[in-house]
Amino acid sequence: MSRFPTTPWKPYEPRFILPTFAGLECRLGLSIPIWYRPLTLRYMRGLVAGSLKKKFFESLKDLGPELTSLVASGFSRKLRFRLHILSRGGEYLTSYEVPSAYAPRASFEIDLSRLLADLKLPDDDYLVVAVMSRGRMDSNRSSPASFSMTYVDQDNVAIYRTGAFARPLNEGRLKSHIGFTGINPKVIATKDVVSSLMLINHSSDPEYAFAASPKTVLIREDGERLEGDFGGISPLGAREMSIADIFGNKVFDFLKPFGGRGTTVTTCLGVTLASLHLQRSNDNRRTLLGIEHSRPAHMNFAGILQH
Amino acid sequence: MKLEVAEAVARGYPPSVLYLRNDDVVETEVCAFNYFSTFFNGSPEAQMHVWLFDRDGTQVGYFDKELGLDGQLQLKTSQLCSSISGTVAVTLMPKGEAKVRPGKRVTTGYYAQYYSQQGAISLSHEREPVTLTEFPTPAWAQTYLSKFVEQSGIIVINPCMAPGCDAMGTARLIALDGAVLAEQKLPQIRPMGARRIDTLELFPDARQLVGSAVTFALEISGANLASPFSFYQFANGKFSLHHF
Repeated sequence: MSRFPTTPWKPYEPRFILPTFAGLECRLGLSIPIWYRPLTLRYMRGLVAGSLKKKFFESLKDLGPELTSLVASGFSRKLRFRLHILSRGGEYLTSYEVPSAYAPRASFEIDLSRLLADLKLPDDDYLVVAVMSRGRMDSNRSSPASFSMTYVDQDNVAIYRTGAFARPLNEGRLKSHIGFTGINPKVIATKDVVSSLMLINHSSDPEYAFAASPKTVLIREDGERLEGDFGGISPLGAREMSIADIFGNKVFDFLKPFGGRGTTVTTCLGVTLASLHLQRSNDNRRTLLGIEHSRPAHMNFAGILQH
Repeated sequence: MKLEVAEAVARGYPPSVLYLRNDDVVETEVCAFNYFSTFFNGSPEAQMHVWLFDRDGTQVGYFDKELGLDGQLQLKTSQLCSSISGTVAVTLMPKGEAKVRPGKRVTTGYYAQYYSQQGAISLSHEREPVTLTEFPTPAWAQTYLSKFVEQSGIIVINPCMAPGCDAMGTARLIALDGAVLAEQKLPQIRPMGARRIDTLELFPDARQLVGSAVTFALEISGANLASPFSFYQFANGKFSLHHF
């Protein structure tokens, strides 16, 4: 049985999966740059060159739906957005089509907390898959700017920004992954602050069905380490674990000689995961102090010839 | 061993920049891990170099540390310079024979944590690497959403080290429907310098222009500007910074 009642996204539509948190005002937004065009001359030149190398009909088959939708829209520069709401366990709950279309220089912004209430969903932690009607004409159909996720607490604002992409992820037919390695050198465990990791088992395949079971190692400055299970993450689901959740309360004494600081290295074979680093007050995750998406370290090695 | 930024760039390991602020409101901590020891068999050792620059791009601090297998760094930059608003630049260089592809560069991944004295923490991964040639502001990094007109602002950094290559640009205050409400020139920023500018300092009429809207956008364009940061500084002393 399909997870989604209808096709949730087309392969060329950029997607961004993000968490909401119960009790926080959660806002999602994106400003469309003035220069955005759905089709550029540069891309058309690349398309013609690429088609000459591939079989023409193969190219047409890949691009047909996208180009058809572009023609049907009258080559509109406006972007549309729709949101799919999932539980943290990856179950589909409902969808919302944003009624307006947004022209370059305009901004899309939505108060997700209010939307969830309007959709009669109980106050809880959720995942939202934001889908935009098209992206830049690059190989990943990346969004023309970054999404802003804003979490407003009673006297604090935490924001992270990242792009949406239409690249194949955890979709065996199109892309298989060696695995995930996420490094967080910002880990804190003190009486005031406890770090959390949130991992999202995302996929470009709406029918994705593989759970992930990462392992986490906590390393302190002298090289001593603790090893732990992160816990299972359902397909299209997410899990947030504080380092006290993973390693128990001994983590406070373990890191104490080093000012409560350390690094986690989290690995998972065979899948890629989206990863967020959270700093929270030591109050059972009631207060979110800061949030940031992680960056894959191996991206930095692209320029190295040999090692 | 002490290393100059220009030498790191010449060796193909340009440091990446972030905003630096140490004062009675905020303290900046640089956090990094020797990921070479995770990914490179037989090359566990690396050297971390950290440079601090003031708002006009004058180098005011330097720190280096050898990182072995699983080595890490959490550096309170206030130990090097306790009162500053400027730029931090960091590079991680493997100590072995890691050769750089001709014409390529090896960038450094790291994070900064900004600790408000009042308890908030905001986070950012590294931004653009230092360059020796002029560049336009990246097209994808020009517009971002903001709110709280009176408490918000932007931070811009010039990561271009070439002599005389000041950063120059324009900021536009944009309504959610795309209307341009106001336009202002950004102050010139010297190489490796940085500026933190309140929205109201840039656009004194912003409160009236934005009106009752909760949210507005800022559009930044120009040359030699790394992708900008937004920030909020609240009356309760909490400071919150976010990369584009």
